Amino acid sequence: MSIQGRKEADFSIYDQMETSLLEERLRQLVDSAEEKESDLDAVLYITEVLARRDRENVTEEHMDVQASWASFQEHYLPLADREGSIYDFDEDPELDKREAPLSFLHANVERFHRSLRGVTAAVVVVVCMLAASATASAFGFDIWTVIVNWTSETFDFSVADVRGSYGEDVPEQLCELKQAIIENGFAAEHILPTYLPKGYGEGTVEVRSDEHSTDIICMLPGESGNIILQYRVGEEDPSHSTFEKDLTDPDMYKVDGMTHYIMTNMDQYEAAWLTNGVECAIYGVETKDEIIKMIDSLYGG
Amino acid sequence: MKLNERERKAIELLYVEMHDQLFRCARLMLNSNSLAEEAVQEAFRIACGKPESLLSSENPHGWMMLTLLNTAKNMRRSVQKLNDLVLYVGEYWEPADGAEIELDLALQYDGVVSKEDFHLLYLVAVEGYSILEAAQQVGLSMEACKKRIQRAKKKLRDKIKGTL
Repeated sequence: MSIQGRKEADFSIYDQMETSLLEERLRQLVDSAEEKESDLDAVLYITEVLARRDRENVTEEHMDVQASWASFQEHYLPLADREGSIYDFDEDPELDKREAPLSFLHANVERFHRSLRGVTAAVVVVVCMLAASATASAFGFDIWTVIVNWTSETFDFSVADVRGSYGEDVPEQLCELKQAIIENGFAAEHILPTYLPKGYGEGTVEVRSDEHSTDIICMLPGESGNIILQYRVGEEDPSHSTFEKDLTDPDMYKVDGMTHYIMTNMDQYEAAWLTNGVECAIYGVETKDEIIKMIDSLYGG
Repeated sequence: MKLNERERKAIELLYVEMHDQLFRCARLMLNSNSLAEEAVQEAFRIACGKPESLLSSENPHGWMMLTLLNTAKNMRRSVQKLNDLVLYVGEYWEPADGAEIELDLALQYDGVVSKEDFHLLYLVAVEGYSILEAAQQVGLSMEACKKRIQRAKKKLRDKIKGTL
C-alpha cells in the first residue's frame, strides 16, 4: 500500500472478502473516516480492492481514466479558483465590491423586474442613487456624481441629465426604438447602434415611466436568444440599474473618450455605458466581437 | 491561481492513481456513475485550488479521500434539499414527459421562475443529473448552469415563504 500511516494496520482480511460485504463495510466507515485515521486507512484499502476488481472484471463501474482526466481539465480545472463547492446553491454572502475612480454616494435601492417575457438576458435591478458633487464634466452634467460599482455578481452606475442628439442610420429593426427615444425626449448622442449582429428580427419596444424614471426597452428576437437594448433616464430622484454578471470583472472599453463596461452573464455578453444622462445597456449578445462592433457603431465605427 | 508545471504533473499522477478508488467510493455514496464522476472531479478541482496543501500533506491519498468524502456528502445534502424544494412546489408542475415539464403559469408568469431555470433545477434535483450533464444538455457552461439553479432555488424558496 502506498500511503503512510498504514504500516501497522493489517487490512489483508479485506482481500478475499466478498464485494457486497466490502461495500457494506465501506458504508459503515465513510462517516467515521474523518475522525479516525485507521478508518480512513481502511476506506483507502477497501476502495483500492474494489477498484482493482472493477478493472479486472471490466465492470460498468470502470471509467476510462484518461478520458476522465481530459474532461476534468476541460470542465472543472478552469473553476479551480472558485471558492466553495459547485453544489453550494445557497446565496453567497461574500461580495467583492470594487469602486471605479469616480466620486460616490449611495442612496436607496429598489427592485426592478423586467417586463418582457421569455427573454434570456439578466434581470435588471434598479438602484436609486443620488449624486452630489462634481466630476460630471466628462458626462456633460452640472452637478452629477457618477458611481460605478461592481461586485462579484453585479454591476451598476447612476444616471444623470439628458443632453445631445442621437444617431442616424440605425438598422430597420431599431426604427421603433428610435421613435420611442425621440418621443420620450431621450436626446443624447451615442446611444443607438448602427450595427446589429445578423439573425435578429424587428424590435419590440416597451416604455415604462414612474415618478422616478423612464425606461425604454427594446427586445430583438433571435433564433438562439434575444438581444435587449435598454435606456433609462432618471427624473428628480434619478435611479440606476444594476446588472447581474458573472464573477469576472468587467472590461473597460473606451471609444472616443467614452468608457463602456463589457461583462458576461451566463455566457452572454452585456455592455453598459452612461452618456449625457442616459443610462444605456445592451445584453444578450453571443460574442465579445459582436458587442464591440455594436459599441463601435455608436461612434460611426 | 494557476498550477505550475510541477503541481500539475503531481496532481495528474495522483488523479490517474486514485481516480478508480475515489470513483468507487463516490459511486457507493451517490448511487450514480455521473454523480460519482462529478464528485471525483470536484474533489480534484478543490485540490487544484490549494495544491500546496495537498502536495505538502504527509498523506496525500488520505487528503484526497477525505476531500472526496466531504464532496460526496455535500452533493448528497444539496441535491436532497433541492429535491425537497421541488417536491414542495409539486402542485405547480407536472413531471417531465419527453423533453417538456409542465410548469404552472402561476410560477412561470408571475416572474417567480423561468421555465428554463426550473428545467435545470428539475434535472439536477429530480432526474439526478450532474451539473455538467445538465449544463451540456442545455448548452451552458457549468458556472451558468449553477447560477441558474441557484436563482431558481432562491426564487422558489422566497415564493414559498411568501404566498404558497
